[in-house]
Amino acid sequence: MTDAESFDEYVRSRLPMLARVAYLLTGDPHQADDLVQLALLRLASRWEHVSAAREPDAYVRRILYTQHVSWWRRVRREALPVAVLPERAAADFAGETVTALAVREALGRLAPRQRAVLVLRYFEDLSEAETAAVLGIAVGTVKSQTRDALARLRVIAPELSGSLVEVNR
Amino acid sequence: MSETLREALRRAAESAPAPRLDGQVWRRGRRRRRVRRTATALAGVLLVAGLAAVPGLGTGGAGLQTAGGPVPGVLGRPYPWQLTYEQDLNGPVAAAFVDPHTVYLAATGVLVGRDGSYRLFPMDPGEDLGFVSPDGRYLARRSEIVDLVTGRGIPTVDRARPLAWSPDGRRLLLVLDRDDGVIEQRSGDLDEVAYFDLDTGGVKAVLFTAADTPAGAFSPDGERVAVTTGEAGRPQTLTVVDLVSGTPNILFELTDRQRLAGEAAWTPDGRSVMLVAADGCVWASCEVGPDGLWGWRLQYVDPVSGKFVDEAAPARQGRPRGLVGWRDGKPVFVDQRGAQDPARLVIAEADGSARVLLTLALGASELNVPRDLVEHGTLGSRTANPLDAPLWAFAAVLACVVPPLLMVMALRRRRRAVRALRGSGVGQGAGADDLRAEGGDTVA
Repeated sequence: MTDAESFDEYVRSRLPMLARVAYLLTGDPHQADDLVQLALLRLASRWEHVSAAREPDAYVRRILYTQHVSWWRRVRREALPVAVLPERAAADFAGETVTALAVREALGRLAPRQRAVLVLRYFEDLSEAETAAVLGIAVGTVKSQTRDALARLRVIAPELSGSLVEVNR
Repeated sequence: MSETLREALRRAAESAPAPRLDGQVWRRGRRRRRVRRTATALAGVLLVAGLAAVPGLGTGGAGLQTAGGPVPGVLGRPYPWQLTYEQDLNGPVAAAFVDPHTVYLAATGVLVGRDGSYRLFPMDPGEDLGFVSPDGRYLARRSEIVDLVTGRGIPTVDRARPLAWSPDGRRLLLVLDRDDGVIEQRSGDLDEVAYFDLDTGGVKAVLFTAADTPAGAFSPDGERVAVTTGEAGRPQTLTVVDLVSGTPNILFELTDRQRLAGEAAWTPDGRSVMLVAADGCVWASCEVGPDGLWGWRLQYVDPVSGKFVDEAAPARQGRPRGLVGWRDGKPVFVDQRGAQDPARLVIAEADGSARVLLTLALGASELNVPRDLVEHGTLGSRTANPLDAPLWAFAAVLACVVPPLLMVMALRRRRRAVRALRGSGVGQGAGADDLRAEGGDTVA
């Protein structure tokens, strides 16, 4: 199998998952698209090394999270004018779908690293050590970021407060 | 377990739209790789080319070579921005010379320390560097002696020019100009040859005579001096003066093809004073047209009777600038034929050949090696360290490099921010072109 073929196979198998992670991180379908494409471009440029080390997932994940933080740092300096103030999802305890929408909207109001920690820990189901390795931070920082993120979610999404419990693994 | 959060995240992720991939990711990724590698190679080439273009970098010697070995030592040139001796003293020195290309624009003295460090010695235009003392600690200059260990200046006599150090380095032979340096000498205004005693700080007269182009040398025991004096353009007189009695012994007038060999003109046994005799041009015109010098030879002068004999060796090649010491009983000269030739420290062998001890990088001149080193020391190669630079040099480099770098970074950051903003707008997702332009982005 050539490098191009093995890369295509990897992309086919992992693309849906990568798209979901990117969407959770950015909260925007277009930015999520850009983020995934950029990550795959970089992966393609270093495919021999990354595939030889059998760590393409870790490499792509790291690009997704670091690039997302990098974009956020640049965009936050610029005010983005909008004609109509965006509506916020209101609490509606009718069902899980509404809760999911509330979570997505609440994620968007977290700091990017807090958002990344939550996605890695509760969506990708990584341990604290694995999360620390992906983000390139200390395990203690992962713990504090998780704690702070959950605390903030309880404030901005009180409908979730009953279910937000910090998990230590 | 926070199952509700997990479930909410899962459901939120499910609403992610199907990703758009243009099918060219692999090809574009490989192009990105080629661009990165080309840029890296180009940066490497530019770095090497930049380093090669740094003046003086290629003139240094490689490794330490002993004087007795098959390869003579090499003295590299300084970097133009080198520290001055006042900023960081490096005495006693192993060598001194003059380099024409430094930040001081005029010819600048260069001091090479025993530790291999290079320091600049700024001079006024037209000034001579002076004479390094036998132990390398002092530099004798017009009107003063500079202590290269402490940086202190020791005044000698106003406008007095140094001629030679005594072998023990405690006395300095001087000439005091009486012609005001401007107008022609008037009759009765005799110049004064004297010596300065470093221990007492006193000056003692040796001879009063016209001395427009004087030269001198102490005998090995330091009790006699041989001096050549006279008016410029006229025959010079060789005189030996006993410093104890003060009695001068006028030997004879030199021809215009003879001159005192140098600061170490006395043979080690003190029985002869050495002259160098030119074949071809007279010495004064040899300075202008070195090609007129066919050869030269040594002459041994009896300091009592004034009789002299030629050496047995045939005509020597090169152009002797000064006899600066005796190594293994053989005279050692600084030799530099012309400005386009490198200055060298050579042993004048008995058979007329010359063995090179040390070579000064091309472009530099006035090689000056302490007599103790010439006679007993090891003459190794030395190369200047470009980082031996004053703070302003580092600041200048930063001032040149940082602003353009910051400007490029700011422009890139702004471009990306605009692109990211555009991409975050509803219905304005980044297309293939935008991503292509993203090529130079960096992530840890």
